[in-house]
Formats: sequence, structure tokens, C-alpha cells
Amino acid sequence: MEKIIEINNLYKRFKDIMAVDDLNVNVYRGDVFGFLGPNGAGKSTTIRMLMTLIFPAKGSIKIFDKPLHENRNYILSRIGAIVEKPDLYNYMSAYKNLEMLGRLSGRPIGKKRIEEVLELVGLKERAKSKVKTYSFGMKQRLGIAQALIHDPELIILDEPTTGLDPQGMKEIRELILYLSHTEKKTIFLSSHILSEVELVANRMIIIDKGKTVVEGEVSELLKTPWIKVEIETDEPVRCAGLIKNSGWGTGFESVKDNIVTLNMEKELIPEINKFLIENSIKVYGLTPKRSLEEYFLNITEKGH
Amino acid sequence: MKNLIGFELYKIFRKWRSYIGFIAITLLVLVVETAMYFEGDKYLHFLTRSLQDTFFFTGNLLNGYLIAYYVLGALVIHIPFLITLVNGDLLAGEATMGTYRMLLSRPVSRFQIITSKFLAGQIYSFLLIIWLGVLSIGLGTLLFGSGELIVVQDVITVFSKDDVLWRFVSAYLLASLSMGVVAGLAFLFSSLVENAIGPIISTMTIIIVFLILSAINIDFFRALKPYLFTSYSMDWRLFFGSEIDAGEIWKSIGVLSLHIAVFYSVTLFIFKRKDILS
Amino acid sequence: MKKKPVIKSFFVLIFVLVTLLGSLLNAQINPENLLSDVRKNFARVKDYSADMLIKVDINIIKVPETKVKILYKAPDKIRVKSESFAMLPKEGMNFSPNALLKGDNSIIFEKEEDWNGSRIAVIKLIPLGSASEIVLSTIWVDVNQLVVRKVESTTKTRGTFVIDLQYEKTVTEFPLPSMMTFKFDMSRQNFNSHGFEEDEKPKEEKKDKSKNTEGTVKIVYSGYAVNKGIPDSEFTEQEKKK
Repeated sequence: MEKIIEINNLYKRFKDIMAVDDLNVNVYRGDVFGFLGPNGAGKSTTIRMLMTLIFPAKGSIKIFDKPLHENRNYILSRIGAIVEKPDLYNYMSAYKNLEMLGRLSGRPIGKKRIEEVLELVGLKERAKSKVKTYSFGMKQRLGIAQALIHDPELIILDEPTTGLDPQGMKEIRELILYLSHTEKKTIFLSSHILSEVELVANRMIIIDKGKTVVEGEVSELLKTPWIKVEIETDEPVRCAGLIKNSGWGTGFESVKDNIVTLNMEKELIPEINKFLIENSIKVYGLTPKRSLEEYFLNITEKGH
Repeated sequence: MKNLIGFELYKIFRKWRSYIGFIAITLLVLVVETAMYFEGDKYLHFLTRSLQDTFFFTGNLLNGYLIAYYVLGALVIHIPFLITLVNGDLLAGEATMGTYRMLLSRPVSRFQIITSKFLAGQIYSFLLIIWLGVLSIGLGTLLFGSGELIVVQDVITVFSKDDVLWRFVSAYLLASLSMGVVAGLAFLFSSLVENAIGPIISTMTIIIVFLILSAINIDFFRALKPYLFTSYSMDWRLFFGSEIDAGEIWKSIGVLSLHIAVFYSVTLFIFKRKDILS
Repeated sequence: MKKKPVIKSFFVLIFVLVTLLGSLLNAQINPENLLSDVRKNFARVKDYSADMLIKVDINIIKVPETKVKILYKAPDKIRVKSESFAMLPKEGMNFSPNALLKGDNSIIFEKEEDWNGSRIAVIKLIPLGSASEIVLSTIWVDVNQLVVRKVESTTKTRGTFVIDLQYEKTVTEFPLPSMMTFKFDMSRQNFNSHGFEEDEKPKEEKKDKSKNTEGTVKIVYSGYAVNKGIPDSEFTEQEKKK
């Protein structure tokens, strides 16, 4: 399979801090690659190095099988990226931003393409409004639009759902899946929210303090059957009592407000739903949660 | 590169601060011309006082050219500030807005970005000076007519009417080169920080300090004077000398161009190696 | 033998006549009468217009050659007409004897000179009273042609100026000059720059610090039209910028 991104022995130091410490990453064509790590792990630093915004202290980066710095313009013409929050020219409209940035992307961008992209990210109606009038979510979508304007093969998204509400997050997820499955793009997705990545990525790497913790297929890495589940109900105390006295009792964790939290096997979620309903507990929500920190602890304890 | 320069100029002229310079110059010229309209005779009398006991004058010496010459003399302090307002923001402004990341992620080299921004800043500065010229000469000749130009330097020189315009064109070109140095310095400072205030203040501080040093009549500072770019900022007056000192003019052009080249090169050197962390 | 006394008497008579004639010719010139004759000669000119080509030659003033038209009407109307800038010495604008010899003066005949075959009377004029700017004037008058050839005046505040006048019959038959040269010294003048501080570059090596401040203004007259009748209305427009 064709390697799109190949990072070998990458280092970057800022004064006393080793931000990236001997990082190795391989991304293949067609991947939705999850690049995960807690805050300060070195994700944004790595992405900035991919985009030539900062210079590595040591190591090599190849993209499309070409060394990055020697083929910068060629490579960047085939990449679209959001690096951290998307800051655009506030005094220009979305349309103008895309028109101007499109012209710098190495290929001619016509009016039709701009309108296509705006429609794709759901901003067609507000195309002529100045960016300073946009909400955070709209700016995020416009950021994605500027990454897509020149139809790149590789899309790098640095925490694209940060600050978005659940609906916004869902829209971004659906867009990523569309770009991957329909447009056949390779996507490099950075995040500190495992559950978000889990829903879209096929491969992932987790880094911490600049180093690789684990890398591989998502399905393999997240095979652990146990998962944290949050149950939303208007009778949290009675619900908690039922769970404690049932076969799921060993996984019970806490009750807070209207939420009962327990750890259980993912496949048994429909069972517990049925159990609670049979016991006249009104279940308003049943949400599986997997935090990165928990996963870390999990893989560390289980020796991954 | 044309696209980039066009983009940079578009960004410059989309910001309100870019118009401060043009508005300020318009007001300056209007104020001076209004003052001259009412007090111009006195000013001319002041200029020619030494000759009036001996000579009788005829013709229109209080004309648009005289006023344009006077306005051009205001370049020393005022126009550099207007130029730093824009040039100091060219790079620092991108850092403030956070648009560096997006701009530098494009398949355009840092060399192209720096060069296009630099050239756009120089073009802006040039347009500002040209606006000064067009307004002062244009409006001046409209209100006061044209005529001979009297210039009092070490000698009193009266230039005939058809011998004036080419001097103004040359003077404005040299003046715009001098302002190009100011633009280059502000641009250099702009590459070092993430806020435009710093470059504006730093550039103006340097200009003022250099002007003060130039005025100090001590041997050490007099020896330093030829190396200070502010020493050449009034050299446009060489085109209004009784004899054109081509050597001095070429020296000015050389020194000013060298300053611009050095400021550009240093900015490029810094920027090409800079980690973009904003 | 009787012829000798007749011849002797003849030669004595010739000698006496020549001596008497010589004495008559070499009689002391009366300066007042001479100046009066000069005025009368000039009075033939009722009015005139002429073209003036002005060349200023002063180290510290650089002015291009300019052409103006001058109008004169007796006794003292003067107007300079010009489309463009011109500067001309005030004393040289009106060179009529009335202007040159105006005011109450003590007139003293100094000497006679010979200028290219012309007999020139050198006359001193000392203005009476303290109001006059001029302290002393010396005038060279052509006795034969009854015109003023040269004026040298010393002023209280502006030093000494000299006016040389040349007359060519080919230019005009009237007692009007074909050329006037005005010499003076600018050293007592102070120059005022344009009102903003000009940072003068130290170009001492190129500047002539001991700049010669003496100067000459040469005016060449041509195209005289004399006694053609110039209406007073031509002189009613106010002079610009004295």
C-alpha cells in the first residue's frame, strides 16, 4: 500500500522541553489516521512540522514519497490543512477568503469550486458575510473549506471538533467520512478525544510527551470489551440500586445528578437497556464513553 | 508572485489603517494650501525680504510649485509615521490574526511570501508619496496657478516654469526611495514580533534618534552622519539646487537602496528560519 | 621791406584769436546748467515702450534670463509687464534724468574725462537733508550728447551700486539706453529659508564659503516705440510685489 506520510525518528526541542522525541509514523493512502494524545503530547508540534511551519531538530519527513523540505511547494499543493484553530481574514467574506487562498494553492480555482466547497461545509448561505460575523462553529467549517478548496489528496485536521457542540461534532464526523469514503481522501486527524477518533479512523497512533505510546489498527487497539457507560434517567438512585444488585454491579462507578456511570462490556449495552426498562426505569440516554486517559490507564495496566 | 503581491495589496487596502496615511496627507495639503491662500503673500515676502530693497519683482511666485515645495519639506517626520503604520503591520499583523499558519501552509515559499509583502509595502509607500505629489502640485496649481519656483537654499534660485516639473518628479522619486527605507525598517521589525505596535514605535524611535544624532555638532556624530539613513531623507532638495550635484544624488540613491536591500535581506534571513508558533 | 610788419601783425592776430578761442572752449563747465540741458534733452521723450532682456549675474542668486516689456510716460509713470517672473533693480527701472537726479542735491563739478572721444563731465551730487537713502552720487554726463553715461551711488544700508548706460543710435535716436548694467553688492543681505528647518549637509568642500556677493544685472533694450501716445490707463494696474 502506498505510504502517504512517513515520519522517521523525528525530534523537536523548545528550550528545555523535548516536544517531539523520536517519533515514527506511517500513514497509508486512504487511511483515516487518528493522531491522538493528551494536551501537550506534541500533536500540534508534529503537524506544524508536517506543514513546514516549524523545523525539526532531527529526523525526516516524507510525504507522497518525497522529502518534505526539498519538495515543499509540490507537496503542499497536494495537502489541505487546519493547524489548530482556523484563523482567517476577518475583514473578508468567506468567499473572498477562499478565492484569495485558493489562488495561492498552486492551481486555478474557479467560482464553481468555491461554491461547491462552501456548500459541502454548509456555508453557502453566508458566503458573502464577513468572517468576523461568524460563530466559532462556522469558522471551523470555513477552516475545513480552505483546506479543501484546491481538492488535495491529503487532509490534515488538527482537533477539528474543538469547541463545537455535539451537533457540530457530528457534522464534522460525517464530513470526514464523506471525504474518506466518497472523495477517497487520506485524512490525518489529530485529537485528544478518543471516542471521536474511534468513530471515523481506521488506524491510529497515541503519543505522549512526544513519544509513541501505541500504533496500529483502531479495531485491534480498541478491542478491549470494557467500556464506561453513562445512563441518563430521572430516577438515578433507584437505577443505581438496581444495577448494584444485578450482574452489572461489579462495574458500578458513580451517581451524579441524573447520570449513573458504570463500566461494562460493550456488547451488553442493549441488555442493560432492556433490564432497566423492564424495571420501569425511564432511560433518556445511554452513552458509551471512552476517555483517552482511561484508555491509557487500560493499555498500561494490560501491558499494550 | 503577481498573485501574491496582488493579494498583499488587497489586504493592505482592506484595512482602515491604510487610509490614515492618505487622509492625513490630504488634510495636511489642504491645511497648508488654505494657509497659503490667506497668508501666502506674507510667506513670499518673508522669503524674498532680503531682495525686496534692491529688486522689483513681477510674475506669479506664489504658485502651486512653491506650495508643493513647501509641503515636500514636511516629509521628514510626518510621512514616515504614516508609512510605519502599514509596513509595521505587514508581518506582525498576520501573527496577531493567526493567519500565518494558513498562509504558510500554502504551496508558496517563504521567500515568495516575504518578497511579495515587502514589495506590497514598498508600493504602498510609493503610492502615498505620489498622492502627496499629485495633491500638492495638482491642487496647488489649480488654486494658485503655475509659474516660476523660488527656492532659498545656500543661494536663491528661481527656476523657470518649464524647468520645474521634472525636478519635482525626480524629487518625489528620491523621496519615495527614502521612505522605502523607512518601510523596509518597519518591515524588518514586523518580522520579529507578533504585534504591530512594537515595529511602529521602534521605527519611529530610530528615526527620531538618528535625526537627533545628526543634529549634534560634535566630531564623533558628524563622522557618523553619512551612515545614518536619515541624513539622506532631505536629499530630494538636491534637485532644486542651482546646479544639480549628480554625484551626491547617486550617492543618496546608492545609500538608500543599500539600506532597503539590507533590511529586506535580514528580514528574509530571519523569516526563513523562524518557527511559526503563533 | 614794408611787407614784414603786415605779416607779423597777421600772425599775432591769429595767435590772439586761437588763444581766445581756446580759452573760450576750455571754460569751466557749469554742472547745474549741464544737468538742466540733460533734462531738456530727455524731455523730448514723452513716452516710450521697450522690450527688456534681463540677465542676472550674481553668485548667490540664480535667475533665468527673462523678457519683460517696460512702459514709461513722463514725468514718472513706469510699468513693467511680464507673463512670467522677472526681477529688475529698482534703481534701474526709471533711468530718466528726473529720476536719477531727483531731490535736492548739492551739485559739484569734479572733473572732465575723455571716454572714447566723448567729453564726460564727472559731477558729484550730495543729497541735502537726512531723509534720502543715498549718501553720495557721482554722475558721468556726456557733454556732447547730453546723456547720463554712468551713475555711482552710495547708500546708507545697501552699499554702493553702479549703473552703466550705453546708447546706440541704431537702437533709437532718442536719448534712451540700448543697454544698462547695474552693479551692486549683496553682502549686506540676509537670506531667509523656506520656514522649515533644513538639515544642511556638510558639503564644505564643495561650497564656496567666501562666495562673491557682488553682482551684475544687465538689461538689453530693444524695440523702442517712442512718443506713440501711451494712455494713462496702461499705468493704473498696480505693480505687483515691490
